[in-house]
Amino acid sequence: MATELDTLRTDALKRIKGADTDRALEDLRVAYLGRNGQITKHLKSIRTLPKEDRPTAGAAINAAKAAIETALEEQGEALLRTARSSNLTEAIDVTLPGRQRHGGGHHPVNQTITRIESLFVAAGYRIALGPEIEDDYHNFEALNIPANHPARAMHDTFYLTDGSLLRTHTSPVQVRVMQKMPPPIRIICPGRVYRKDLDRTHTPMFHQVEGLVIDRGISFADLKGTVLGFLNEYFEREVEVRFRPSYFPFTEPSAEVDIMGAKGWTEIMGCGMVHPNVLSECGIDTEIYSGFAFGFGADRMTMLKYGIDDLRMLFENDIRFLQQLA
Amino acid sequence: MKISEKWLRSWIDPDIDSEQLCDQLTNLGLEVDGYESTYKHLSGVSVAEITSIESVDGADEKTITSCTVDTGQGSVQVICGAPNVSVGMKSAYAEEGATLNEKDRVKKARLYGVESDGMLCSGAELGISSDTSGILDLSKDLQVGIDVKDALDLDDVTVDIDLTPNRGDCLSVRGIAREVGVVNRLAVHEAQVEIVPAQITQELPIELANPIGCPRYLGRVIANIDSSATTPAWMVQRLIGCGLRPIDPVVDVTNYVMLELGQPLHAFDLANVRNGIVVRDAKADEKLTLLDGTEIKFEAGTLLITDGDTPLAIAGVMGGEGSGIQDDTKDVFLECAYFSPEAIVGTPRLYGLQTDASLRYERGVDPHLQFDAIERATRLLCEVVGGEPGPVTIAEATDHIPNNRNITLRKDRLEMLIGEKIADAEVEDVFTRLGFDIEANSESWKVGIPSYRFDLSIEEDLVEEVCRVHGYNRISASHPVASLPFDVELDRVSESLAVRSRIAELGYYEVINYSFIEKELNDRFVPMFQAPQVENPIASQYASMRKTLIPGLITSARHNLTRQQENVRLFEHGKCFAIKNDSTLQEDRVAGIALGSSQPEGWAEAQRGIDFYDVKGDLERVFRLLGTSVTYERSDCAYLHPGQAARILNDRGIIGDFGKLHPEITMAMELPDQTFVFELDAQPFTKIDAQHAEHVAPFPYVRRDLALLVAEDVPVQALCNAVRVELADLLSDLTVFDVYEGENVETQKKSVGLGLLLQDKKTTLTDATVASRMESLLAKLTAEFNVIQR
Repeated sequence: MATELDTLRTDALKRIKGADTDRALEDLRVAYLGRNGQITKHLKSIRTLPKEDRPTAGAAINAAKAAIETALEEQGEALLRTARSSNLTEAIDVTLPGRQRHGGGHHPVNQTITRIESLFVAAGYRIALGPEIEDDYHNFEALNIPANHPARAMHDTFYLTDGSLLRTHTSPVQVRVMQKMPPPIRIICPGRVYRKDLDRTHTPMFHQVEGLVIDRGISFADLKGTVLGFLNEYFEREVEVRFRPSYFPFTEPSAEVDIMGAKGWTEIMGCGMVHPNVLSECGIDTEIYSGFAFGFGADRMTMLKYGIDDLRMLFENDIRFLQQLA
Repeated sequence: MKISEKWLRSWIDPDIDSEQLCDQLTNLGLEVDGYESTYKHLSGVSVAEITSIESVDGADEKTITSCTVDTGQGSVQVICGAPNVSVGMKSAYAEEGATLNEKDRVKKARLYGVESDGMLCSGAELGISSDTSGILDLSKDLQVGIDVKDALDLDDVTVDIDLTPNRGDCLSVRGIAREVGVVNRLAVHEAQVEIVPAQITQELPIELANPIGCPRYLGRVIANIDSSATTPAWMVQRLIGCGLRPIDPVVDVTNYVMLELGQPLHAFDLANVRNGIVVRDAKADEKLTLLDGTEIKFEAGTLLITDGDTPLAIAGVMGGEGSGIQDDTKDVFLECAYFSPEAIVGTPRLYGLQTDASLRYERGVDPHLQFDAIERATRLLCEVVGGEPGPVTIAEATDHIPNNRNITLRKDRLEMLIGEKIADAEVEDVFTRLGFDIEANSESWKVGIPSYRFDLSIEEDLVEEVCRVHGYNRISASHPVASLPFDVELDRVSESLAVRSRIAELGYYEVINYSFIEKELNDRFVPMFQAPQVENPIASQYASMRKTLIPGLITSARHNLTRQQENVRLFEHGKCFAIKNDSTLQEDRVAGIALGSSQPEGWAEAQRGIDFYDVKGDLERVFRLLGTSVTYERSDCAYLHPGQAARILNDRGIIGDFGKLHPEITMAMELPDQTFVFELDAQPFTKIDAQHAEHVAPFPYVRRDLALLVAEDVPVQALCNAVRVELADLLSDLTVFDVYEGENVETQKKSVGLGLLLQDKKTTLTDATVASRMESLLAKLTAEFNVIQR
């Protein structure tokens, strides 16, 4: 009995070692450990032995079974290793290009707007949007630009046949926000605006980003700090900046902001302290609150950042242009 | 406005160069656009002496001579038609290649059969006087060969200032000089204005029928002028320095005074205004032929200068042809009026007439300047054209003339608005330099504003004056101190960012097109409702507010196709407009266009043209990533191919369409047949739906595949929906792994392969449960769609 089992075990281990395919290995597993396998038969035969011999015989059979199981497992792993290692010497051309997908990306102007939004949101501002077809009240009158005001000549306005107009700036959004919610207000208003103009540096539609801060004790120095901080962050360098007096009907004092570039000073934005007439029109008490506003062209900011010299390029939508900045 | 630096320096001459002067002006808020030599176009002209003259044959009527001219570098021969040419005369010689103005260049020429090496020039030809009667007769003391610009001191610089609309007070040499005086702490040499006594008694009656629009009108007759007089060179050069051309001596004088003091004047030929002057509003449809020859028909209310009946001029804008100065004008009637800005503003725009006078009247003229200006103009007129002045006739409605203002500036308000303290002494110094009167107390200043600073009316205006003169760039920078509340009212990211990013990641480039398109195109794509129309479009193809983004995308796609870009995938996000039920809608939409191959060319896979399901796959991915569940049905969208058009719906209704562009459109627009577009309402993607995370169950999945034979017109979506309903509690995922028609499938049928991934979230699924559920599913599909399992 013991000898027979030993022979079986020795034979099995040898055959397992010699198995060279998964299939052969599986056949051996069935032959020894399957329902009718040789080891299984031995286990079943224990019942026929005298009671006192059973523990010894059982232990021997189980030891043989365990050895066969281990051998099967080891040989399986060995076969797998051999299979996987066999092509270690086979190399693909790692320099071949990978499978391509179509490109894609955001328009440079919208990238600029998104970036500017995130800079201001990080500083505690919120984003406010509004309609592009506006009425005279929100675009002009509420901003201290009554009918026939000379400043209207600064905005070549597109009118619609029903008397409404295409907003000439995003300032009407400021009006809408001020009339809707009480101070403190810190908002950024990006969006499309329209003026009747077309040349290298003007398109009849362009993008503005305006900002508005209304709170107690807001000063011109705060405006300067905000503008300087923003410009340095946007251009990612210490920008040389000049503020000079200017005029907008909706701010007083008003300023234009220039930055120093390769060709000297470049005008980049308008800003100022919100005019008391505008605050009053929006129901804000000018004795308690003051505020500043600023506005600039997102298209122009994009051009300055990426060295683009013709504004019209931004609206040709040439893929070869778009993919450079995507 | 353009201003002569030399003229300005005759009023105030700080010890700084042109560049520094311009920087000062810019930093005061008078932005200098540029400055350049007034005579930069004049070159190659030098002093030359005429040494001999011969008359030229073959020239009738005119005196034509051939002159030998000593240029200092040898003798040349010049053909000359001037009557005043004489031997020994020194004149201006323009050599070959010389430039006299922006466009004309002197060339050698053959005239009357004789070579001419260059030309001898008149003052008018050089643009330095209005004299056309003959060539320049220069001083005999001048050395031959020197540049005429050096000889005549033509070294002026014209400074171009882009004035903001509030600074009407700076539309004159005097106004600019005041500002330069403020910043340099120098006194301005004001022009001496002396009263010119009347020599005759003749007057014209003046009536102010609209005393609000015209509260002051001064008039004066100047009789017996010399109509042959010319404007002196010094005056012409100052006018030219300010960008004006000389016209005739009377107009030149009125222009000169306007440039000098800022007061527009107008000169009438007295012969045409015999009845006197009535300043009144126009009646509707009254007409006037203007100095430039155009006839205009007035709208009621335009302020006019009339002779009682007939309009003579549009007040403050332009004179009429019939009453203007003529070559033979003998007697002049000079007008010097104050019109309120409100009365003039809008008029130039209404009639398309922007003039130097209207520019000033719209922005405001010093209401107390008229008395000085008429005396100044009279004196200059008498100097230039002679004549005998009458007395000044004064018509006034003093109640309507603005009074000088006082504005109170609180010291604490000044400090609060600036953000730092500027010493009281400096503030007072600034006001004094600006010519303001000040009365100070411990809390505030009462500031008296001179009449020429009509732009100042509120406390904040004085804050700006202090900042401006103190220097914007000397004010320190600080940061707002603010509370940081969380605020659900307003957004933290642009609401369109999520959907735009998803589409961009799928290989679409974002474009930006104008929001206005051609009306016909607009209506062709969306025929259902009207679009808002632009009344004054920049061009007719930009007259209609777009109802859809598709035409713009097509234009962009065409732009790229014609530039050899074969794979085009573009998208745009923006507003679309429509008039529905009399109200204007402005809705954010997002749309895309795709044509070319499904993937870029590569070695690994065969190229395949893009198809409907590529685009649908893109959209499905967008919807899935943004957590929006949608269904699809066939669409009747006008611009889509009827057989490849799908409508997208969510729980609130239709959100968009996509599919293949209609062949009529691809033909007309020269696009490939396989061009696909989509357009969606962007609103569903602006707020992220409240999503709910589910527990991941640990029990094993069971996969069952179904191969079903079904009528070809049964939409796969219907089969899938039935599966989803029937197995709602078990279905983890459903895949359509095969759709097949053709060999081995009977006609008008298709084979659909569905892969079902099942899982019971509470226990391990048994084979028996799966078998019984699949059986009832099949029974249901058979009943509902007459399917046969293959």
